[in-house]
Amino acid sequence: MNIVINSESLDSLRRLGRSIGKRLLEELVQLYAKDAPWVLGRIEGHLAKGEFREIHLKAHALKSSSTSLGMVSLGSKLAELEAATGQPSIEIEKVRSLVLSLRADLAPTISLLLRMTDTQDRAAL
Amino acid sequence: METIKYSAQSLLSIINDILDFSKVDSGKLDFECTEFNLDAELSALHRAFHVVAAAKQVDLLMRPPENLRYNLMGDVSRVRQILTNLVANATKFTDDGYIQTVVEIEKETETEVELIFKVMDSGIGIPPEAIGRIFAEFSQADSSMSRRYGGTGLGLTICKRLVELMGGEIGVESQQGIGSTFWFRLKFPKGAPRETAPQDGETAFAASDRQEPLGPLRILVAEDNHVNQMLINAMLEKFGCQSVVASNGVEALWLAENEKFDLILMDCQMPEMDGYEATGALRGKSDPRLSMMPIIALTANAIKGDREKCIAAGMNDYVSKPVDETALYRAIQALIGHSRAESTSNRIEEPNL
Repeated sequence: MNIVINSESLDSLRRLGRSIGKRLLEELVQLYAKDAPWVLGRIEGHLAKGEFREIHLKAHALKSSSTSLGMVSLGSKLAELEAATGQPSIEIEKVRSLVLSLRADLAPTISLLLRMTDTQDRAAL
Repeated sequence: METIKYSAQSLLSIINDILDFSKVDSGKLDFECTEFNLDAELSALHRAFHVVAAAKQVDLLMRPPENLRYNLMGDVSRVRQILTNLVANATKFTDDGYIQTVVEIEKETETEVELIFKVMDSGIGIPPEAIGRIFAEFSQADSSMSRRYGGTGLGLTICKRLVELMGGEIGVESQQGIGSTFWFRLKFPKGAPRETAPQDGETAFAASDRQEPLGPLRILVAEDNHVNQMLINAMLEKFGCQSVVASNGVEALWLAENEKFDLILMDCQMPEMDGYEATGALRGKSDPRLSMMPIIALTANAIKGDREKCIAAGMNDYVSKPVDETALYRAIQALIGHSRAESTSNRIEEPNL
């Protein structure tokens, strides 16, 4: 597992928050830490039912928020999942393996994000 | 030759550790007080370790305190020794991911500043049963560590004694398999104000701060993703704009018809009704306020032809996600400027009755 989070993205969000007098980065990270495991749970549920269109939409949404928070490695796996479920013929084993890999990566990535941003609320994990 | 050099370096490092430890342990250590620039120390630390980190494909990051505008007074060689020890340790136990050294201001008075130094890594972590003795002399998390990773197990003990002798405290938080954060706090008298040029990050910040407010614009943000909603709202607030959020195309259409907006930021992929369809519906309205509404597409599909697809759907411009603050500012500025110029020229052409 190679987790990559772009610290420049985090710095830029920190600066944006400071410019409007808010703890924007911490709020975004807390929101992500709460939402992302729920979305991945939904993706797993859709996988069990073979609902690939739904997986495609949710992978797209989670990719978007992951890349906004600088989560490079997770974002690229979600892009792969989005692409794999957006084709007419779907390789089910590839989709299953990507979902398993995302499950393995998500908690350590969020844990790292929380530590890199010094966000204290870890209850979501 | 390489092996001989490596063995000699390892032996030298062990001897230095033991000599240092005996000095620290017997209290025969003198501390000097000189003025130093912390940013320069962190840069030197980065230069010292970046080759070994790059070889392991580990990201090595240094983040100095953002508002430290003066030099520090203290024993820079001891601060350097502690940081070097902690970063060397992190390098040893991290095979992928990152090592980040962050320094932040904890407390500040007119004459003194208390800093917290954190060395965070995504390495193997420390088992819970070993954390309590990690700073004890000749200790490593388990006995197999010294065989696999080398070292005397004295480095952290020396760090602890040095920090305590300088009146500070040191600690560690770790999760096995996730990584560790070693931290220490120290107080320093303030030195002279810095005369150095600002760091790159500060320059970028100053440049982005030079954005003129876009004025009291009311902008509809059609975006289903909560993280992106919060992020875009923050950018618009910084630009001096007011924002209203719609979570899908249907909501966006309703709000556009029933409230007054200067511009719409339209996510392309949304539930219920996507951005292309919502734009098509607006462009088909007889009310020119809706059919001519400036619309900027937001899309995470940075693929060739995406821009053309957005324009074909009736959107005026396109900003890719993750949304870059400057790109968004420029797109709004260009579109609103254009729209204002058009409306001014329309007014001039109207007969003055």
